[in-house]
Order: sequence, then C-alpha cells, then structure tokens
Amino acid sequence: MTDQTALPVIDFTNIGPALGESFPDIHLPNQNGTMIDLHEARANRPALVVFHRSAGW
Amino acid sequence: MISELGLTNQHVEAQQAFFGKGVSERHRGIPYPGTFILDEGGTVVGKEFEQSYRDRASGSYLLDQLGVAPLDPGAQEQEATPGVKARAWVGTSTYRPLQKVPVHVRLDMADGVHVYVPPVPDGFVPLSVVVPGHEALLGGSARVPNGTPHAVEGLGERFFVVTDQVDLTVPVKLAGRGFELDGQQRAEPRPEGAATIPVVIRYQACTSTECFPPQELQLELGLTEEDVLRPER
Repeated sequence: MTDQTALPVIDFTNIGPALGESFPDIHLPNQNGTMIDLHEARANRPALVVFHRSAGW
Repeated sequence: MISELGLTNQHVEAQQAFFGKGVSERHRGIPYPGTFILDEGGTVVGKEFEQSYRDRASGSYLLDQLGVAPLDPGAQEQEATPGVKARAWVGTSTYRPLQKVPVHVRLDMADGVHVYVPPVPDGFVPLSVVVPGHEALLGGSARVPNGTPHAVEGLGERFFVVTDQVDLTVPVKLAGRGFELDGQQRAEPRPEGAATIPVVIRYQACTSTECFPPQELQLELGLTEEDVLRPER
C-alpha cells in the first residue's frame, strides 16, 4: 500500500553532466583499491557510467 | 565525487515517504540512481534516470541505448504483407521487477516496398508499435523514425515512408512477485514469475503500383522472472 504523498517529479535535464558535455575526469578506486581513471579505462570506447542506490536489491 | 557531479539526491525524504518509509543516516549523500551513456569521445549522449529509485534500466536496455541490439534468432516473425517481414523480441530472456527492458521490433521490406510513417493523410495507416500495458506491465509506444518524402502520382498529399529495414524499441517495465508496479497491486501472482508481453504492430505497405491492406499484427513475447534479493523491510 503506497503512502498518499506524491512522488516528486524531477527534471534531470540539469542534474549532473548535460547531454553534449564531456563527462568529467573521474579517478576512483576499484574493489581492489587500485585507482582507475575513467577515460583512460574507456580507451576511446563507449561507456556506461552507472550510479545506483543499493547493490543489495 | 557525487556532490561534485551535482548528483546528490535532494529528494530522498519525499521519495521514501511515497513508499511509506523513513530516512536514516545511510540515505545521506546518496546519488540519484541513473546512468550516463558516453560515446567514444567521452561525450554524454544519453541520460537514463528514473523518477522512482525502485525503477532501473536493465543491462539489455542500456546496451540498446549504445546501439548494441543484436537480432534474437528466436524472434517471432510474421509476414502478413508480401515483402514485409515483422519480427519482435525482447532484449533479454529474463527480467527483474521494475527494471526497464527493451522490446524490439524490426521491419524488413523487400526492394520496391515502402511503409508509411507519420504524418499520413486521412485514410492511411502509419507505422506504429505499441505494447499495451496491463496490471503487471507498464507498456508504451515506440518512437517511429522520420521517413523520407514520397510522392504518389495522382495524389496531392504529402507522404513519408521508410524502406529496407527499420528498428523500433519500446521500453517496458514489469512487476514481479511482491513488487508493485507504480503503486498498483497485482491481482494474483503469475506461475513461476512468467510474464507475457503483448506487442501490436500496425502498418500499411505499398509499392509503386499498388497498396496493400493495412495490417495489425499481434504478437506475444514471453519472459521469466529472475530470482532477486528481497529489499530489507
């Protein structure tokens, strides 16, 4: 049964990098602690950059 | 990095409240869930974000956004019009509740055959692909590509057509055992989580010398639900 509160309607157009923009440089550790450069790892290939809330479900 | 990219979820409390849940410390600083699609040069060419954090794009849907949608050899086929073969398949063999999966339709037209696309004059049927929704399925319509201008001798109206091959995709979402679809409770569970996706394809094909009767094809595609981890309650 859902609450009566409305789910907010969010315009993602202006949230995060916009269409047509270069995705920023990202340097983050992988699961082994090794630093990964996103664009270097892409090696001029298309890519998906996924942000998820939980890996538990 | 999440805040630097401007992705910190500012609507957590409202989103949690919608599902009758509260907010705890683990919700602070989380991003809006979604996906950026980058081309070979690292440019953002697509953004897939859902209004509900419970809805997600499946891997098959995201691969489709990258233009990787191989024809399924098990696709259903119909050739109701000579020279027009319609095929439909789902971009995955299984589904998870509330994940967006792509339903693909491909029309192959023989040489000399064309199919009308919108806009069409009254009395003509443009190409359309619709997945009708039901209690466990959120369907939709495919975006039909623009056609090339086409003149019909003796008629003053404007026509637009597609030829050779056209691919269309309808993203759909399915409820699963125990998962509501946009707040709608499913009336009864399906055996073994099996799902049926109806696809309706309408079109009218012509050659340079004749037009065939408009067609409405109805196909049914099947999927099996994957076992998923239950959310903590």
